[in-house]
Amino acid sequence: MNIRSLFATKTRRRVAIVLAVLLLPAVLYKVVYPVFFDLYTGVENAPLTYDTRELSEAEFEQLALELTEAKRRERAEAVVTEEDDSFAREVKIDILMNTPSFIEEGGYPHIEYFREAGIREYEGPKTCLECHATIDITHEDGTVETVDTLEDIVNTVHFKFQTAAGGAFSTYGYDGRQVNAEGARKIPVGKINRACGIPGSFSWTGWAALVASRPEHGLDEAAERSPVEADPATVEGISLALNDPGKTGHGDGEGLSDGVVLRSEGCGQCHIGGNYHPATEKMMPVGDVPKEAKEGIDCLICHAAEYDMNQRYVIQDKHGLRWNQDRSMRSALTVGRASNENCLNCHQHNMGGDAYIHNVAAKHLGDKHQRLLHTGAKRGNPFSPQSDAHAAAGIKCTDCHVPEGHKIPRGRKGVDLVASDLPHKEVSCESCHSQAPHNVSEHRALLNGHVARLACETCHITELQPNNVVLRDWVHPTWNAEEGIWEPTDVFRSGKPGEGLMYLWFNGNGTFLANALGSNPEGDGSYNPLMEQIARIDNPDVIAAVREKARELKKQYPDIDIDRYVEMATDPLSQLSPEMLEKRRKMVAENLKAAMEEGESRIYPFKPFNAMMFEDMNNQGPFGAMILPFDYATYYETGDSRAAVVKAIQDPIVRRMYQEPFKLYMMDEFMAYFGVDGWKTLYPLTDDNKLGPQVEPHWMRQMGTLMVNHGIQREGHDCKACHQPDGLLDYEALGYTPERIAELTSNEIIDEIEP
Amino acid sequence: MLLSPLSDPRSGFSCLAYGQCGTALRRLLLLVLLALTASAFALSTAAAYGAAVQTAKKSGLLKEDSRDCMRCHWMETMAYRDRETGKIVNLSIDRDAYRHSVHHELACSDCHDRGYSHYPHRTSSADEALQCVECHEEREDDGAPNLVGLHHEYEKSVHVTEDVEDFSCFSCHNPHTFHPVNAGESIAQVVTETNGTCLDCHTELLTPVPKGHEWLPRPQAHWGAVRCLDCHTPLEGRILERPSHNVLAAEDSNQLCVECHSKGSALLSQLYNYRTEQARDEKGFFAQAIYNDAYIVGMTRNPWMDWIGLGVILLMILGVAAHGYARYRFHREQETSK
Amino acid sequence: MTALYLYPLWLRLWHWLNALIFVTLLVTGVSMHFTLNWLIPFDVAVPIHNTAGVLLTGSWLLFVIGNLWGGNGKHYLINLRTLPKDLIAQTRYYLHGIFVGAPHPFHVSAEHKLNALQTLSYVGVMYGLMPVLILSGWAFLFSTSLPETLFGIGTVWIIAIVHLVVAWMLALFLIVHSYIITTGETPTTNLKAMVTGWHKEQSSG
Repeated sequence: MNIRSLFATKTRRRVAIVLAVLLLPAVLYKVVYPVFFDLYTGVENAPLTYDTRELSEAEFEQLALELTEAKRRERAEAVVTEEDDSFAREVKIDILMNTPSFIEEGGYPHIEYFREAGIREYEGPKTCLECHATIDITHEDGTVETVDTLEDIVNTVHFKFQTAAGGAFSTYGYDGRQVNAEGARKIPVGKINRACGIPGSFSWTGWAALVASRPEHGLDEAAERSPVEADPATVEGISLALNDPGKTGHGDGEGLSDGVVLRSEGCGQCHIGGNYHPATEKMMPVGDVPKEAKEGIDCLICHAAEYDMNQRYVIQDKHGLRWNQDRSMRSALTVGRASNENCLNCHQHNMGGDAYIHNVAAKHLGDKHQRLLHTGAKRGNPFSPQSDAHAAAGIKCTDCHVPEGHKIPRGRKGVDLVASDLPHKEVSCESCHSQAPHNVSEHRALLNGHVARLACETCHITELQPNNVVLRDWVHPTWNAEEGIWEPTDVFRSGKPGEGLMYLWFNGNGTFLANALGSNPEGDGSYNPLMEQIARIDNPDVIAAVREKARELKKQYPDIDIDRYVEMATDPLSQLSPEMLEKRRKMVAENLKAAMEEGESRIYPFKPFNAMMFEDMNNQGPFGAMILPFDYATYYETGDSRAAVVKAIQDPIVRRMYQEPFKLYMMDEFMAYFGVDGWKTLYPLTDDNKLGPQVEPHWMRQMGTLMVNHGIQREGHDCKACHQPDGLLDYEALGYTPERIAELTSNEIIDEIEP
Repeated sequence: MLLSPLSDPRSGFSCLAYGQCGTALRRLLLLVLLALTASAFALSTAAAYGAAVQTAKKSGLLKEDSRDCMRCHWMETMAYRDRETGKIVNLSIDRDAYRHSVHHELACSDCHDRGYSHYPHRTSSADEALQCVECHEEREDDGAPNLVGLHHEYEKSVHVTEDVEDFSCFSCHNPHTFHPVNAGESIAQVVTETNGTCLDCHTELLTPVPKGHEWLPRPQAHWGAVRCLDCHTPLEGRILERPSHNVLAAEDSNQLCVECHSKGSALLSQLYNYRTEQARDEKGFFAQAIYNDAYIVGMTRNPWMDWIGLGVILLMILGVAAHGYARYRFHREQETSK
Repeated sequence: MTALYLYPLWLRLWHWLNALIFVTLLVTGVSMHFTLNWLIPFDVAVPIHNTAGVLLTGSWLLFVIGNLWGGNGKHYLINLRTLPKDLIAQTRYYLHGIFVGAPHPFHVSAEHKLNALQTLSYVGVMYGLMPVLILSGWAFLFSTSLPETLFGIGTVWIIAIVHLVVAWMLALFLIVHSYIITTGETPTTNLKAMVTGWHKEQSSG
């Protein structure tokens, strides 16, 4: 039958027309829409290639043997710990490793699976899905659901960095509405579209960058003066990496002048997509990520025990920049359930920080284009056996953050704006420790009594890492001679309570700019963090330190008015006009009171953070709003912060943000949550590529407060840490009445307990 | 020094010991004399405890050294895990609940009068002797009800005869919160409160098909609507004012649906005694006359509907009979006329 | 004398079976409703009522099937055109004519064995009330899986009211039905017909 005969009769023609009408939407959706989307957002998709090859049988067996023996050795070393004499220890380890029962246990089960299935090359998700096309998910209520593995993972926050799921962390807009609440218009929120002061960018514009650094003292000395200080192990790790000529940027000069070293930077280093850009497609109400992006998912970074972080670096091909990943058979043969090491490959970066001495990933910076280390810590509360009681006890991340499939809960409390896959699932100390956690002390009942008002973390996180960043100036970068790059200036770093760690009432609600909300259940109503505690730094030591830094900066930037600089940094509300300040006061009182007084507040520790960045003053309210991102390469290479903004906002997606469709799709709603009426689409770049007059450098109008929950110490603060006149807790600021403060600070009872 | 573990896993507290009751009473009388001083004192310092406590002026918790006790014991999570039982023993006093309890006039030391003057407390062994009945025995003078009859019932109950370990009044009744059912409380509220006492321990009954109750349709609905006690106390000798403390063993308990699901149910009359006239009026005609008395067996249990139904049937029978009689009469007439 | 074979065997069997079931349900139902333990003890009444209820469902289905395939269905077709006239005539007869010996306005034939009033009431009972009674009865049997409330009122209560009201109405029907059958040529004409199948009349109409 030829094609013509298909349309021969009237009926056939009618059938054909009906079929065509039915097929049209599918064709539009599957073919036309993705092309249009890519054109509109300026993203590009291409098949992602990685350096993989098929192993011969002999190579496979050799690798299997090496891995098995290494693992067995690791297990044996963990058992033989009590032998001090190193020779005797070696002998014992050797004996144990050759004991039949010991050989039988453990090992990597996938070696056998791969051997039998004849898999000799790891080709990314394709290889995994051969066996794991579907997985069984156990929900909280015990029901089991079978889902498509790939679908499951591309819909996680780990992949798409945003969610429109309602009630996530109970974030409230400054207009008093709960973000994405039941019945509200849902907009995607998460790291993908919220520029923030710590990364200085967002994943749209900061996905992958190659930075041409110019270390002044050459590579060797750079290694010695590495930002990872003091710990010999770390320095050794970095030296090793930097000194190996095969592993540096020197080898592939790519026309770079001498002394230039290419370094990798960008959000993509920690996110599981391998594409040229984040999964923007998932932000739209329709559409799916393209096949290429799905094939770029890095399964192994979470599932391989022997994942090589030295393979995480930025590579450039004709389509653009993207992040390389470890797709070796070595890594693939060691797959299993995600271990703490897997999670920490990325998450130690935001917990302990890159400079944390037990950050393993930070010692494997890349075989080439080594990743730039972020020396200022985002939270400074590490999770490692050396710094956290739970890690030391061998507790797994997933014991508390119990996953459902690939969705992982963050807990129901949290203010850091990052999206959560399972916002209603509990992750809390109490779920294991009960409400009576203290069992040893003679005063255990009294200690347990504190649980009603204090979060466990308040006492059991005694301080954060000293490099915890509190104030960061992106507008005035500082030259880092050793790394050969311009860095944002950390105006103040501290992990000490009262400086880099503050205590606030918190009921699980937060604002659209990461401010903890809560109220004092027995207070006098004066507690008002958005006007007081997190809108001002009172500590004279901190103010002095900021002034010192401002003086330093003035040498580089003579325009700086030191007094004004200190005032803006430590009293950010001084940037508001009296009308704005009044509006702010009114909005706090009228819109946020309910969210603050909801539920049961307890005192939690928070890491405060503020940053000076460029802002689009057309889209600002009394609390702030539109922060402009920086282009990493321009910033790090030239130190010209304005030029870096110019470059970043030329990104097509930022241009689209300043257009009508985006305004209607989400920006208006976004602004409403900021308490601002409508998104102004005046693009902040003039025709000659200069920043418009509406772009001004500012500190955020209040500090963000990041919840800290790791780095738990067995020994918490003692009683007197707080129960004395100048204790850690500022009871007055926390809204207590003078009578109650007198009681709380009196030593009468404490002296009986701790004479 | 350790806070010594208390015997009672539920409240961690005990009531007045008989031997100390004299002391307690004398103190109470003394306190009446000191009332002016005390309340003035309370007023002047109440601010320290915030608004919640200010309304509790009459509370015994603001008397004397009770305020010192409450400096710690107000904490909602004041508790510890007993080293022998592994269970959490709650040491917290809910100020608001105490204020509404029958014992609200008593100060802490009226009952706990030994070893508590300092922290850490020297001893609490005195608490172990505290018992309800010993205070509430022939004590009409201070208004404390006589609980001797109740104690006799209790001694026959399965909780005693089965030798349940460490069972005492305090297993069910927390003296710091205990209050009789308030007049005007809704039946649902009464049921929830009373059954809560049972279900606190009998947690095995919170499953979808609770043990021993497999025969009972919709167990959870039943537990929201009737008290455990309505079936698990003897049918004979019930008094309307309060449930019996003779809690029956499963095999002796009532399992006849019709005992509840019928008119004038003996089992339910006690429960419904809690409903005041006022509450009945408020519910309105419809709810009161039709809805509230409705359930499966006996269906509407509504005499009003039954009377209408019976009346219509009766009228129909009468009508039919009249018709038949008339037919018969006309028939006879025709016969005779022929 | 005329003799018509009006009621085939299956129909008669069904009729008396249905009657038996219905009376059983009525008696057990009444004893449960009023908790008349002297009539039938509660715990005996419940299983009997439940069983009879299930049987009644089957019986009703037989009736529907019989009407669909047994040719009996035509007797239940209401002639809307002549209905008002027929109804008035029939009612007049019962209220007046029957006493004065007026001729019966309706003549039983193989084609029309039911008069307009009968048709209407039987259709109402068998296709109206009976299904409601049966459905509400089944709802009782599975009351544990009913929703808690319906339109804000307890579901069980609604079911109970419906079941009760329909039961009252059917009891009324039973009384009227039992009486009306005595209004044939002789008081037992109709009864005999339902027993033997033959409708016999002395006078020819």
